[in-house]
Amino acid sequence: MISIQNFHFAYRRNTVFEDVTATMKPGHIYGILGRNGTGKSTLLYNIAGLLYPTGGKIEVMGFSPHKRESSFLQDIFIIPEEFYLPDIPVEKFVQYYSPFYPKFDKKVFLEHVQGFEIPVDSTLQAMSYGQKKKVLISFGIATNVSVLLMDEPTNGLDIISKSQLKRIIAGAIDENKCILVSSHQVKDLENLIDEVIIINATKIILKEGLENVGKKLSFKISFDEDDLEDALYSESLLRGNAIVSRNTIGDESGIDLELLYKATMADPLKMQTVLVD
Amino acid sequence: MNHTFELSRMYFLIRKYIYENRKAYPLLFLAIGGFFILWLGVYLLFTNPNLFNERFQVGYYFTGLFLSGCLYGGILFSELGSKPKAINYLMIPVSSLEKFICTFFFGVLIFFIGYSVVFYIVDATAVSIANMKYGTQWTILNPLAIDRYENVFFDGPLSYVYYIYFVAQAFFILSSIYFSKHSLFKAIVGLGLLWVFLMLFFLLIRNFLPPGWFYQGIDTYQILEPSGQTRVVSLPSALTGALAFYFKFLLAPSLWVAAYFKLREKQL
Repeated sequence: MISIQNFHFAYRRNTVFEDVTATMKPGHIYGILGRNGTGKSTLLYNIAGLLYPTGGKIEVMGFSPHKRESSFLQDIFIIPEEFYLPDIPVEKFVQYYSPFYPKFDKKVFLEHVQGFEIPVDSTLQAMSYGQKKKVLISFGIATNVSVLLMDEPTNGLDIISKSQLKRIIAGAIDENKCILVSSHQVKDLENLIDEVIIINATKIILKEGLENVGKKLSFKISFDEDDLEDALYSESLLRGNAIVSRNTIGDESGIDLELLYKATMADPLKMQTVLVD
Repeated sequence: MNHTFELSRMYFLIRKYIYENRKAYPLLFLAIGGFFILWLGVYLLFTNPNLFNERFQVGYYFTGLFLSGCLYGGILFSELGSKPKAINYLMIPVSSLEKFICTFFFGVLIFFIGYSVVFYIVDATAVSIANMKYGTQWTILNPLAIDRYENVFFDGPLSYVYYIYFVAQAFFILSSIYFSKHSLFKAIVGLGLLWVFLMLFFLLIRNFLPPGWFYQGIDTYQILEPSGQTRVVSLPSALTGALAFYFKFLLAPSLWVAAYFKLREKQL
């Protein structure tokens, strides 16, 4: 569905990506993690055709995104971190924007908007940032596009809405769709994504299905100092230590995404080796 | 599905554009009307009846057209200068050609018609009042038959000013797509530099020519012989014809095409 080959990208002299190769398949929700400024948004913009690779190739659903062909744009939707919505009522927004998306489902849109408790008869400009974002998210999900890109979707959402958002995204995925969610708030992606992509220093340093992560790694809080010896990564807590170690039991363990992220950032090669074994 | 142009997509885009700009265009034309009401209203307070003769009306019409048309052209694609608006604009599922045609249709054609109508209404009212006040019989400027009037700017039919206007506006439109920030300012500076470049170019050419001066345009040169007599030399008529054709019919369209291609490859 999304194929990235030897991808290079730079803003003038500032290299953001260097020789990155990856594929994203339908039926999955990918979580893109990375520090601020590592290129999470840049990657999404390149996939959407809003920026062009300075080298290599990106292909999305067989299209070259940079051509921004209408059939491509009909089947992809991006919810940017900073977004713009026109100063019109919500129902007019749907009336004038939905015809561009052949698979748009108004019932789904209304369900989500009502779930977020957004007044449909108010104008978009009169809404708060969070409310506008909820409208855009509801619209994006209702477009039923094959590729949905979400850049920091939880920014500006309250705690209840974050949980709702997770439910909505999880309900939107099917075998024909691919959803990419970027966030620097690792906790926001927990129990949502099924594959993690970690970006650091111009590279994708980890791209792994969480099922495999759960099989290969074990995440726990340990009070036993001996556990530290076998740990792949550890950090001391107020009481005990948070530990990432090899999963020797065989059963799939619960994943602490934040620990996985920290462990990968600390030693990417070690984590890659363990996960490939 | 046609990727470049499809009527149904165009219809949805125009429908959306009209709805989103339903307040912007009436306000724009009201502002232009208000500007002329103030301008001509102040002139009506003066005692000079000649301020409303046809020559002056031509001046008012084209001054307003160049000012408002170029300024508006310079902000026609201003959303591309703001990342959130640019994402919204570029991600609408229609082709770049459809986006360009839609904005061009409203920003160039509808603007020109709207401006001319607004000017005509204000001008007709002001000239009628002036004729009653001063007992004059000035006719109201008709932008549809502009060649009826004397060209107060240069030798040639007055309709040639329209060609210059569309070239200048196209330059501003290109600038609004090309530059993400301060496009209006950069277009004004660009036009200024172009003017300076042309002046320097002609000064340079003049250095290579014998003593004399350009005569009735830049295609004719009058040479001052040492004997004191003058001799006129002209560019071949085929060349001047080709150049005139280019400036009249090809320069503005080529700038529009350049603007379209720039829009097609526009990045955030």
